Parts: sequence; C-alpha cells; structure tokens
Amino acid sequence: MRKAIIAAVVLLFLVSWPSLGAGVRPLVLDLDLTPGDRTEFEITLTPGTTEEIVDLTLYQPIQLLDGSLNYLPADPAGFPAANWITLERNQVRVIPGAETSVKGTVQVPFSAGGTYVAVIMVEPQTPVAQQGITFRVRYAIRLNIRVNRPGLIPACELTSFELVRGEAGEPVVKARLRNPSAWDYLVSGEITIRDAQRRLVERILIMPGALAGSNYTSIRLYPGFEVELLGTVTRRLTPGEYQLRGFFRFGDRGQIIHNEVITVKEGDFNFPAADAIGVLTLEPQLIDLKLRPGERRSQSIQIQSEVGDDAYIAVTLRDVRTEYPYSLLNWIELRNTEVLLRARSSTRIPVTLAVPRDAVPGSYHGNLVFLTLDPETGKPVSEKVVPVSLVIGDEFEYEVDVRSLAAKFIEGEGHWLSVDLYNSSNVMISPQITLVIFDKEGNYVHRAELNLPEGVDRILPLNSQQLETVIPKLENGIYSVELEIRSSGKQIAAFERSLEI
Amino acid sequence: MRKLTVIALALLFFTLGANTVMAALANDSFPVKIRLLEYAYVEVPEILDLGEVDFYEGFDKYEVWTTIKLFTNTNVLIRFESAGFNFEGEGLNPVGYHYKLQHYTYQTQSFASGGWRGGWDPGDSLFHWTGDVILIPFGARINNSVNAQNFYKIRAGEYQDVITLTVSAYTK
Repeated sequence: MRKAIIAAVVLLFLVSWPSLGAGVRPLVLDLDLTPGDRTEFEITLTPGTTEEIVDLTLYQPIQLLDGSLNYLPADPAGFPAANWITLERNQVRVIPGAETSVKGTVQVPFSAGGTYVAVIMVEPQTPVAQQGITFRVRYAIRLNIRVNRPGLIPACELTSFELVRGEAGEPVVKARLRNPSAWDYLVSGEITIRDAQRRLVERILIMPGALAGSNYTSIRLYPGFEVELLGTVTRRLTPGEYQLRGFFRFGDRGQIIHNEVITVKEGDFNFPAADAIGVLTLEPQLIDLKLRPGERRSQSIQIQSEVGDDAYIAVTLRDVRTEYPYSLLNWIELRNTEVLLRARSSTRIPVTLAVPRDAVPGSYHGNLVFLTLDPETGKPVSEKVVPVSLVIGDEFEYEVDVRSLAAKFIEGEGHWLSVDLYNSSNVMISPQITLVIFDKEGNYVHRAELNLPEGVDRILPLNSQQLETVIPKLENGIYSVELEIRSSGKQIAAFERSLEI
Repeated sequence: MRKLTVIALALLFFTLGANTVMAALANDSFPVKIRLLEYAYVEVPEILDLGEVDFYEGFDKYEVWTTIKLFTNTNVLIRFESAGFNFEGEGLNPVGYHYKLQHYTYQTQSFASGGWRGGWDPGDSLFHWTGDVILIPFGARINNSVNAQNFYKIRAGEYQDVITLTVSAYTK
C-alpha cells in the first residue's frame, strides 16, 4: 500500500511539464547538383517556450554491418563533403515568438560525383538538472547531395556467402554486400535452398539486423560501406548435399546471382523439436477473392493443432510491406483475435472482407498472421501466415519492366538465367517469359521459357520478382535478348536487352 | 503613313499576344505543385525524477512514467541515449548489471542508464506518420538486478542523467 502511494506521488509530482524546445525544418534537404555547382540552403529554427542557444554541427554517417547508421562529428580528412558545406553561423539564439534562419552553402568541387550524405545536428543547449533525469532533444537534418557525373554507374559486390550456426545452433544464411560505387541504392536478398534432387526445401528472405521487425525487406547501402544480410533456415536439413541459390537486387537495375553447394553433416545444426515450435496447420493456406465495390464476404480459417499441449493463438494483420498502397488490411474484420487451441483439436476463425463502395479496380493484398504464444510468457514462439488477395474489376492495364537480366554458369547444369521483373500495374500478374537469344551477328542461339520460382505464383502490384531457368552453356560474348512477357496466356509486354557472358 | 504602319504592327502584336493568352486560358486547368517539407518537433518533460529511493523498503520496482509527444508530418527515427549516472564503477564491470542503476523503457524497447537504443535503423526506432500527435510512453525504473546482495556497491547520493533524443526523418 505504502509503495502504491509512493508510486502515485511520484507520478503526480515528479514529472515536470512541459519543455517545448526549439524545433527545426526541414529535416531533409535533397540537393541534385553537378560538379562545380554552388547552391544555398536555409534551415529555420522554430522557437520554443523559452530562449535557447542552439548549436549547429556537421556530422558524417557511418553505416554499420547490420545496416544501421551511426553519426560521428565530421572529419574533413576522411569525409570530403565536410569541406564543401559551410554554415553562416554555428550557434544561434532562438527567442520565443520569432523564427530564426541559418543559411548555408554547398560548393561542389569539379572532381566530385555520386552520393554524399551529411548531417547538420541542431542541438539546443539544455541545462542539466541537479537531480533526476533531464531530457535533451536534438534534430539531425540530413543533406542528401547527389552529384550527377556521366559514367558513374551503381555497382555491388557479394563479398561473402555462407551457411553458419546461429546463437542456438540453428542454420543461418549469411551474405555480405559491399557498395564499391559512388551511388547509394536499396539492396535486398532472397535465398533458395534445394536438396540433392533439386527439390525446393525452403525459400527465405535475408535482411540486415536493422530491418528486423520493421516489415521492410530492403535497406539503403551507402557508398563504400558493407552490410550483412541474415536469414534463418526453419526447415530441417537432414545430412546431405544442398544447393543454395542467392538472388540479390541492388538499385533499380542491378542483380547478383550466386550458387553455392554445401554439405550438411549430422550434428552440424540444431533444429527445434516439433512441440517447441507450436506446430499447427491452417486451411485454407491462402485466400483469393474477387469482389465488387461495396460487397462483403466471410470465410473461416480452420486451425488444427498437431501437438499434445494446449496453445494460445493470436491472430493479427500484417501488410505486404510498410506503407503498401494496395493494402486491404482496413477492409478485414476479425471477430476473434485470440483463441485457446486445445491439444490435437481444431477451431475456426471467421474472417470478413468488407470492400468500400468507392474502391477502385485493381488487386489488394495483406496477410493474416497466426501467432502461437508461449503459455507462460505470452510471447510469440512461432507464426504462420495466410496471404489474402482480393481482385476488384475485370479490365486492367498491365505495365511491367525488366529491371535486369543476369546469367551465372553452374557446373554440370549450364547457364542459370535470371530476369528481375517489376510489376508497375495496379493488379497482380502471373507472368511467364519467353526469351530468345541472338549472337552479335543476329544469329539465333537459344530459346527458353522463364518461370516464377517454385512456391511463388504471382507478382503483386509494385513488387519485383525474379523469373529463372537453366539453359545449355553459352560461349563468352555479348548477346542480344528478346523477351516476351505473358500473364495468364496473354502478351502484356516485350523488351530487348543485352546479355554479357 | 509611318504612324499607320506602327499602329498596324502594334495591333498585329496585340492580336497575336491576346490569342496566345486566350489559347492558354482555353485549356481550363493548370498544374499547381506544392511540396510540404518534413518537419517534426518533440515535447518532453523538463525533468523526470524518481524521488527518494529507499532500499530499506525493498528492491521492488521504483518507477515513474511520462509521455513524450511527437509532432511530425513524416516518418521519423528517434535515438534514445542516456549519458549515465557517473557514479563510481559505472561501466567498468561489464557483467555487473547493477552498475546500470536505471532502466528506461519506451514502447516495447528498453535500454539501461549509460546505454542507448534505436536511432538510425527502422527496426526499433521508426515512428510512422499517423496524422495525429504520436504519444510515446517513457518509463524509468530502478534496475531489477539491484538487490540485497549488491545494492551497497553504489554509494548513496544524488545522481542525475541526461536522456538525449535525436530526431531524424526516415526516408527509404
């Protein structure tokens, strides 16, 4: 009781409110320049409730292996952009009731080219209280300086690729990508694991630690830095030979494909027991609907327990990715979000989709996530996902883009061809690609059909996916390639690309 | 005659100019572009104080909570960093967790005094634009690893910490 009173007193009297310090705008300055350019920018400091002295200091970003950025005070010796950026003042007085501006200039040298990111740290001086915890708020204004110089192209290197033991002895695919070019770009990775008979074991997304839990799958890689992408193999790998195929996308037009054969021996890795991962099966495994605006449709999902213990199952919704414009999560209604699943029994979860009357034609997507909760801690121990897709309308305009085409020779098989296809239309597609290869004299060399990888049957709007095939070995040289893209048997686009072996 | 030529030419230019303007106006829409700049500010309490902590009363949680208000028109990253309490021994013994006297929590994340959390990666520090004021519950409590067997390692007295929040815009 006494402690409760103490806690109440603490809550009521020991938080002193409020402290509205100086703010700043903008938080991001995007500057597209050419060598030799000089440009000015202005930072506006908005006042707080009291007079403040504000320091403005230049910082440089350091990208860590997990993809996150740390900022250090700029060192002009190792960070050339620090010499180009000047601020008219490094300390200003901000008085209540009036905004204060600080002008700055960027003078790009003729030798510059590529992406340079700098940070102006705006830091109000805050007196430290004699006792207790003082809050200090500072703002990092990011200057994205892109210096356009002809001939600079994004490049990416795969510096390592391996299957290692994770913290609990689980198999983890680890790959490192380095950016040796002058431009920054987004990178993402996907690994396909096949057994000795080339049967698909698992397809996993690999991503840097900084993205864990964020629902983002790609990260920006800055010039000169390296990131490590990780992915845990959840399927049991019995002793034997496995083929690991890595597909890495960088920027708008780049891809790296990599093939590695590994041998797994008894005891190399630990795998959780079936009971420990809370095994359950779901039926159906995906929901595909076609509805009209204003229509409602309900469907049940059956959850079957495959283990001998009771378990709590939480049902949540998850977007395809953060801020996905074709999300249908707001249209899903769930009556139960947590159920007790008795040992080896089943239960049903009703799901209703209510399409708004003003919904426009296209396809919309989202995921139902079934989390098995630890009965003691309530924390999720495993999850299963049911993708939900909804099509509205009948006539669609298809738009796709071949972002990149790559080839990799695999001993004993031939050349593995990979096309990265981007779906820019407002509806999902199930594409196939017919590819015809000609040599530089225009002579026919080979024809091939490229398909989506096993386990993938569609490309959602504004998503990319690689289509692949293996063809007989090609001789070294530069080839011209014609690509015809079809979806549901109908041609939707045709492209011509070159391929260097 | 010369005056007449000047008037005729002036009339011709006027007609051509008027036609051009009329043609532009005939197309009854024109683009208006606007770009809203990223702007954010944070409202924090001036001070957060646990008051007097008396270990004679026990070692159960002494804690205090506040709400940080984030006003933003864009997605932002916030790094929370504690300067630490600077008492003797702090940070010297990496296994002596009780040297981290205090523990801080915001949303589902936590960090110890002298430590930090989040900042530049979206995994644990991304606050999405919501169109509303974003309320961030923030708690400070005595570390639950401080107990009867180790409390004496920290000298009694008044201590202060500074929590620095670094706000930056998040753009993919």
